[in-house]
Amino acid sequence: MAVLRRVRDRVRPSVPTRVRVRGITPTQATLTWRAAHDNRAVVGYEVWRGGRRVVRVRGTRYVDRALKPGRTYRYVIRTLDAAGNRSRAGRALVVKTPPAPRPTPATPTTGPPSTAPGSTSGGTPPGTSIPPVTPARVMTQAMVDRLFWRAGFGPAEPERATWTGRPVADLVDFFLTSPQALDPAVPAPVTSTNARPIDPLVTREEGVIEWLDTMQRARNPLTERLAFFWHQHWAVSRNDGIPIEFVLTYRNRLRRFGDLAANPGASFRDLAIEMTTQDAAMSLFLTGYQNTKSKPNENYAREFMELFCLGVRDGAGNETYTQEDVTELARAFTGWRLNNTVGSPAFGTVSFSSPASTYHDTGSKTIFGQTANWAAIAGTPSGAPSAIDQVLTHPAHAPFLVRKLWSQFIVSPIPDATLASLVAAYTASGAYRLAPVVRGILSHPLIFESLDEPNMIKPPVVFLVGAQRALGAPMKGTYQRDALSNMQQIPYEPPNVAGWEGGLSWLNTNTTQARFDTVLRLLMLKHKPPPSPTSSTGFPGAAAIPDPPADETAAQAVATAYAACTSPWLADATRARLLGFAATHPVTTATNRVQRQYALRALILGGPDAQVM
Amino acid sequence: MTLPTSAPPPDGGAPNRCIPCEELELARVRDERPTQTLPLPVSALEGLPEGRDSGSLTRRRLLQGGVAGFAAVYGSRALGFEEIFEAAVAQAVPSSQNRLVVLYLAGGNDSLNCVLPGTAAPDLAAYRTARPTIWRRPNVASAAGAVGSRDIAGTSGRLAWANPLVSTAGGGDNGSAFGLDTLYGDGGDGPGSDLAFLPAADYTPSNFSHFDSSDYWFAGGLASLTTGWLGRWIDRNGSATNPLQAVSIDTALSKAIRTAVNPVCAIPSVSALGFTMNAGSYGMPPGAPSTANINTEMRELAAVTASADNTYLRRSRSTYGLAVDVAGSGATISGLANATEAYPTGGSAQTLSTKLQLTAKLLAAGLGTRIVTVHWGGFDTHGTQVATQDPQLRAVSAALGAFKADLTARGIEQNVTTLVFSEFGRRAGENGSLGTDHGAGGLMLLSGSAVRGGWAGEFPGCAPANLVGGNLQVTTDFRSVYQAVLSEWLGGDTTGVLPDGTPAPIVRAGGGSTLFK
Repeated sequence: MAVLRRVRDRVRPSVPTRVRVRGITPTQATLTWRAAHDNRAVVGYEVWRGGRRVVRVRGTRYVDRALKPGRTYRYVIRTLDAAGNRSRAGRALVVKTPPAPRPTPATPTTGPPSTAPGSTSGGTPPGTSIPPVTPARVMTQAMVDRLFWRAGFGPAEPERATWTGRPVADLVDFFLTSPQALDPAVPAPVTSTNARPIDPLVTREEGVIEWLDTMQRARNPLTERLAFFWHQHWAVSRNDGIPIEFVLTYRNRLRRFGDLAANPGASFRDLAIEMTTQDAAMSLFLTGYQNTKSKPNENYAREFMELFCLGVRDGAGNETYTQEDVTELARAFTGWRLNNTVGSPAFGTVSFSSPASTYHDTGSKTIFGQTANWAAIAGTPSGAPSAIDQVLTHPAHAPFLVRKLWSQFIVSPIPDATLASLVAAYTASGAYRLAPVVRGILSHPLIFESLDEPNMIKPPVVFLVGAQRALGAPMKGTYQRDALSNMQQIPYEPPNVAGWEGGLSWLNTNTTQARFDTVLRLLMLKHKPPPSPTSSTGFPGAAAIPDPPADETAAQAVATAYAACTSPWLADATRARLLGFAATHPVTTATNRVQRQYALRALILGGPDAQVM
Repeated sequence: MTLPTSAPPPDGGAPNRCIPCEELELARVRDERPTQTLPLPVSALEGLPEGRDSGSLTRRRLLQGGVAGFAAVYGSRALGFEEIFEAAVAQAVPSSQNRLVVLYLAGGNDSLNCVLPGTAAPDLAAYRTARPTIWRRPNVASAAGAVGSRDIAGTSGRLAWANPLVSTAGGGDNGSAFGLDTLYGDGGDGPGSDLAFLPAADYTPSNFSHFDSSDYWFAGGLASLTTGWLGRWIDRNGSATNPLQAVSIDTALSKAIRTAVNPVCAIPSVSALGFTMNAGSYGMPPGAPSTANINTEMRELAAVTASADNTYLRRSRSTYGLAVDVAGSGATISGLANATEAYPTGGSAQTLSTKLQLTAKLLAAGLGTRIVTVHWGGFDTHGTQVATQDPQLRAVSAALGAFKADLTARGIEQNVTTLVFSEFGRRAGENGSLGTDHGAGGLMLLSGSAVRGGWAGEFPGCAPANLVGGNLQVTTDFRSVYQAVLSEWLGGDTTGVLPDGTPAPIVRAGGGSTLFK
């Protein structure tokens, strides 16, 4: 019987044919080819680009994602067999990536609005444009407006002038590194009777105005937006009889964690520690001070897990904690006492039970399956490990917090890859730093999604302060707080410990009327001077809208009103309808023409288009 | 300009609980917009006295008499105006369709502060130990800082009603001729005993989260679903063209009646003013003519279309449009009540009364309404419970009694059952703030002359040996109550309405497992 000698395979496989590009974008190309053949067996293909081997694949398809826009690439596919023989090179496929699309042109700030009824902006259909922005990209005015709305309370004209044409990264840097300062040009708020400047310690209304005033005048508004985010997150309501001094201290603490310029290392871990062991308002609101060894009270521990750090379920739908975990965490949190005695020098101080065993449960507790004599923070009492850290290291925490921060700024859900990278930045070195996460979110291309048709609702506080800034209206007395009450969001008074529901719930038939009514109030504050120097009605410094000329056209009326509202975004079809309204409004008397101005401004700033940013 | 919203609290005054507010949002459908807005003619709420033939049901004829309000319709397709009222009339068989009114108390109503150990209860001492400051003294009126209770008839002193639930004649302090005691009667099976109570109804394992628990109660099972249990019943037994078959008296739809296919609607109980610019309110001197046509213009702006995936802008525009539509409603709610019935008034009680008055009106109008949902909030009593919960208990008991009398006067009471529940109970022991924390085993009530009145679920007891982790044992699965309502009362096709399969029947104290006579 003849023995077959094993002959080494030296035969090359054939060249793949029909190498084609199936899909092309500025940064990726999909290549396909027809399968080749070999005397033994083909085991795969090599993709060569620009003379270098990129990858080896088994199938007849490859998506190359590492491309740059506006470039030319040469691809060669070579077949591979089991013995390592490669096919010859074959003819190269030349692929050109398109340039990155420009964002749609900026809305002109002045000038006659479109006269074509029902027209929409040409080019990209509304709601679909996401310019693939990298941080180096320069900003159009629409992009500047977008960042000032999402990270602030809307743009003022000087801010548009400063930032249009500059890179996104510069403005993000500004938000994260520019120190807190208030614009002195905006009039300071006064009380209802115009009698004196406001004092947050005196009445509820003044307490609210004090914060709104800072929001309106902040040169770097991100601090206030973040502070308010933390207020929604670590929700405390003064409706439960919490002293205003505690509330202001709480607010200032939150502001510290929102001021990423002054505190670039601001950490969620520190915030959690302060809320648990230092904050008088939180101690009172969630009855942490009543949580003692003999009478444990789970209120704070439950919310700590459910609302503040973990959420009930993780991304995969699994429960993150059990009732036992809540009970044991409550035991770990026992012993933090609050001095609530008015007049005492230590009023508002939270301190640990001394000796520890009087009020603190020093026994062993099991949290997430690990048993130790857990306490809130490490070493208090001596030898105790930190239960707060035990919660923060739970795998559900980082994604929970990153998602929540993301959805504060961006509507579309966070892409998986972005979530992973922000979680990594957040948890790096166990620091739970907030600045990298905020920077990553503000720099992400999705913050510019739907630029020509804004798609995020303005919460009442943002809407109010934004309208104040747009009109340059002052704050006074009870006006702002009443407006926020009708819109169902009063600072320091969230409806429950979960904060405000937000989203679609901001808009119902009552609150839409309230938003319109808010603009009317602001118009009054801006334009109704006091009838006499000592009068308590009207606002000192207000001036009536000047009488428009008798021959003012509808288009001119709309242009004047639009500019007075700081040229906000409006859909083209909305502009067309406003023009129609202006054209049919009576104009025979000066009163009529002034009324037309008021009505246009109210419709522009208080209508449906003004509720999105 | 006044708006129908909660007034801001006075300076430094007592904390003002925001009752009709975000706490109720958990029960509302928030991720779906109405398909259309349906004007409700005044004559429809009057029962269409001018006729129910196709000639009288035209849009022009019906709207001639004025509009009483607007319904936000949720359905899979837009329906024609006349199509709707023809279907409504066709569905309204004059006799005996059984109707269900669902009253949801939002926040986790403390059941142990409603039905508690009575004078002869073996666990009275344990109850007192668990609630040293807020316990209710048996068989006394409330006085001098101590709150009282009255024994429930037919329980041999084992159980008592909290005083605020009991009528004046019964020795309670709800300030009304009606109370749970008058509805309950002697607790036997016979006529006059028209209230059944289940002291610890809930699901296990208990979750204690407002958000999850309320979702489960509305879904009818232990999952968050996109349809409600009553919505599923409507999909199987209801009309494809009559949104008035199931109504939420609210600004948005209740999750309980959310359907997959058939139309349902939400009717807010308060009329609104729309968008007006009265001179003097915005900077024009008073006396200047009011700016005309702001509502009209706002309707125009609301009609601009937005892209399909821009949920918020679409919502903004459609809500502005709805606000214009709701404005200028003709008949005010005060004209809808049967004037003889003494519903409780004042403060937050008025909200509940208004909703129940509109419910009675709708049920009597013969428009095919089978299910009505009413939500009322403010029961999450973590602190100073007696001050906050007792006034609400007064309002609920008085309103339920007035509602029954109202329905009787309209001649429809025998076909209406009211189901009252909350998303969980509260812990047996008080916390350190004179309140209670989330717990298990809430109180369920069924009220109506068709209900087999009495003690319909085991009382778990509050001795430490009977508690589970400090919470009341759950002695009734809420799904069993739903099942009884479906099979004994609503009837029809109930297959698959409850997602977790057929639950065990309830076990009554006096024996038997039915809830209806």
